[in-house]
Amino acid sequence: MKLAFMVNFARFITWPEESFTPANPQLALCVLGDNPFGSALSGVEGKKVGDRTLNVQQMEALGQEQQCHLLFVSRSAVGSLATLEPVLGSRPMVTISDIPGFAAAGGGIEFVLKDNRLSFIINNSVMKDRGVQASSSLLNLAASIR
Amino acid sequence: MAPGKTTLTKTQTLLFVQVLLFQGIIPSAAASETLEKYLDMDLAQLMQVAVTSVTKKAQPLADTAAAVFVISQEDIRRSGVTSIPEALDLAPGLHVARISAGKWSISARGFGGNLTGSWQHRSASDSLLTFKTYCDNNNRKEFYYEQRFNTLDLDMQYEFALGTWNNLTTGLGYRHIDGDFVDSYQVHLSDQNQDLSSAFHEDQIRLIDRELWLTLGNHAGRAEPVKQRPIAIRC
Repeated sequence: MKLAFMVNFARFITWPEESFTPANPQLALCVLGDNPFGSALSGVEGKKVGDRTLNVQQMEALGQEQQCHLLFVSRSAVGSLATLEPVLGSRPMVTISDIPGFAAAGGGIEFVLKDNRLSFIINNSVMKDRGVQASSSLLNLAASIR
Repeated sequence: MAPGKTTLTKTQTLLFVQVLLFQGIIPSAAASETLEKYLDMDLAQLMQVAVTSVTKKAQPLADTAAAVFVISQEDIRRSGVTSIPEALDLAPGLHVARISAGKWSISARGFGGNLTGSWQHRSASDSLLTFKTYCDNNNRKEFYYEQRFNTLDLDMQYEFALGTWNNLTTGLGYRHIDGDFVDSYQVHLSDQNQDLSSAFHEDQIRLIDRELWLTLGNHAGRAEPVKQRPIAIRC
């Protein structure tokens, strides 16, 4: 479910052209820490998002995230939250997590439950700082915007 | 058997169970939770999918031990009911009373005015204690009779982790149902009072992270018999 949300997020987000290189024209969806999606994660590999295809990567620790466009921070990687900001700098990347307080702590999108339904909080100022543009329809659907 | 009473044959009974399973009572459970299905939905549709189960953890309804009350074919056979309203009476949340040979009064809690109160406490060790009260008042007025149903629900649930692999949920529930019928010249229905108590325990053991769980569930219930079954028709 969260995976389907993320694929949908990608449809509403515009990354700067320079974040795609001829060598890496794909949209990279990365999972930092344990993979909470199981085999579903590899199931979205190659899915079309606009005119780009999804490329899925899983990483145990920070360090290989340069190519990522969407970075899902797994709960197991909660310890790396403190170092996330300085390491990522202002790279055009959307960080996503279901760790409570993630958006308030400088994350891009935080999954929340609202009326028994999955929803999300967008930290639009962080997105802007990173040069990533969230469409107004995505902002309209968000439970709240920071 | 009363004249005019609908009798269901075996095949119809089977069909009835399927109808309950796939259309009426638990629509979310029937849908298989596949990634493809979710990927075909747009964001607005995804945001409409309910993800919370009876144990208040994000998981599909079908995976929980005590999530919904299902009237199984076995239940129908064992209880000897021969019509749909009688079968519905087996479910705790539905109040069924027979008005005449072909008329039934079926009401479900939650359709009248109600009051809900809940209190939740999450401790540092990530255990969750929830108390819930629910009071429902359901009135129905027809020209030939009038009914009033009051339902009081008390629920307690405690969820905690045991090690990293076990997630235990224990719950206790009590429900008091108080039904009043105002007689008319046509119908006489005796009042109903019922006490229901239930307890459940669920243990979810993670076998493979995010892929395979073993859920052990245990549900015990006690229902005081309905005092004075109705059915007396005045002519």
